[in-house]
Amino acid sequence: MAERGYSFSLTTFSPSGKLVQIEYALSAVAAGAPSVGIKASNGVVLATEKKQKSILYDETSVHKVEPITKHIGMVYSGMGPDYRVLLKKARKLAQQYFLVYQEPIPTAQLVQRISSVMQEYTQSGGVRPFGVSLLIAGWDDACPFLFQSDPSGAYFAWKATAMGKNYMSGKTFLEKRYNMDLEVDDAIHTAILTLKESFEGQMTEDNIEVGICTETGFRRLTTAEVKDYLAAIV
Amino acid sequence: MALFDVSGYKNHLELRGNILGTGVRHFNFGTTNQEFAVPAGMDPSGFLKSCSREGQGGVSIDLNHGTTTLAFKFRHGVIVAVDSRASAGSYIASKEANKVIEINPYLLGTMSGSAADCQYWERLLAKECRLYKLRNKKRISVSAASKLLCNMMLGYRGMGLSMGSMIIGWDDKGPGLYYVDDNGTRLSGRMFSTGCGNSYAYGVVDSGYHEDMTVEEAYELGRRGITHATHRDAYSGGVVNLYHMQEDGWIKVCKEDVSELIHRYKKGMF
Repeated sequence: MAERGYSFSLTTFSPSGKLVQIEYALSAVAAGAPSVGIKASNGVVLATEKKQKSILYDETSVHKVEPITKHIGMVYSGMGPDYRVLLKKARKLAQQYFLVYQEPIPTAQLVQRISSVMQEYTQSGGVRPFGVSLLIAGWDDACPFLFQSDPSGAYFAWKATAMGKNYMSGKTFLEKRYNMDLEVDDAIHTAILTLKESFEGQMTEDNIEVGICTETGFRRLTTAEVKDYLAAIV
Repeated sequence: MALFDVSGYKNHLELRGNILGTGVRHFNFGTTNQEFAVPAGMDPSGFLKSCSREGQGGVSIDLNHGTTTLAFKFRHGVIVAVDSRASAGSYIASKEANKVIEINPYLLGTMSGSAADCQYWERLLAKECRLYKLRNKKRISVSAASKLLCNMMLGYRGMGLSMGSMIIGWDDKGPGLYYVDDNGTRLSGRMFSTGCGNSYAYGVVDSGYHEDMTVEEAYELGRRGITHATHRDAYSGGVVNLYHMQEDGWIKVCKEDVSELIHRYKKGMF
């Protein structure tokens, strides 16, 4: 009621203390394609649904799971164009850190910096918040990390999480399935199963994307590898 | 747009930039911002040259210079030895200057060249190292610390800074030794010596070094290096400050007067 009058201006609090535009941004994320992240004992797995609206799309040209540096990768749920902007910024921030310290950026530092960019867009004039939540997976020294970054600029470290459509049932599924001793292979299996829960239609290697981050670095799985994992599920 | 100019409208990025100092800059390669501004068109190194004795008459400014410092890696860590004379031209300003900055229990920095430059920039480096630890929840690596110092030097390259420093530490990758100087040189190595007495120190340490030295032998080698350099170099002297960088941090081994040490060594020499 009284909220409605405050819902159009980003930089004005509503009477109940919320920034309604950010809530709406979170809704945009919740309407996006599902994505899943799982931290295993020896790595991190990111997976997302990549349904194309037409068979004429060239699915090899655009990817959702993308590397930021050799040891950090990212996936999103929400608006694709907003993701591209943040991806570009994240890559630049990582290189700027390297220029100063001549060392790869720790994952937590990158997440803190990219979240601070997202926060800037919630406290400025003439802009809107980013309509994406990011899942950032990285490997520092001997430890795997999984972070989620929200449109509000808040970031969380997770053992396993789901975002996008049906994220609540995804999270419930993960709560039952997750344990600390998972290895990367099991985690990939679990991630694909989690996506399958909310998948409409037939899951093939062309309409999901999987990325893994281990001590050798971050990489996106090839369609052949994804096909093998899918065959194991059936 | 004309209306924007008249009304004083600034877009959000500009405003943000003014507040946070991160506005659009065409040559920002992410290196740290300059510590202090230098007036455009000023030539600090030319000005300094005109003030020193080589320049025209009048008052001459002799910067504190002249040192011998050395550091070398061996099986049991890193040995750091420095002298303690601060000279301004031919005047000995101090016989007990402290040329080693203890950045944290796992990092040391040595100083040679202009005392003011070394002290200022290495204290700034210590500040950055503390901030790094607070932000990252782990200590900075020796490599990153030396890179930070190197970036500071590169920011003022050609403007008359004079600093030859070694950054010594022990981090996840083991013992670390880096040489950083005012040109922006940054080298990792097993042994370095800086200052105008460095050639004497190199001679002594290069000939006395062997891989399976004991800790005591290494201390003795470090002491000898500095002592012989102070004996021959007019701008080095005072006491030898000896440090040993070990896996669980550095320890200060000793602080001995070079005049006593040289008599001890000369006895063995002749």
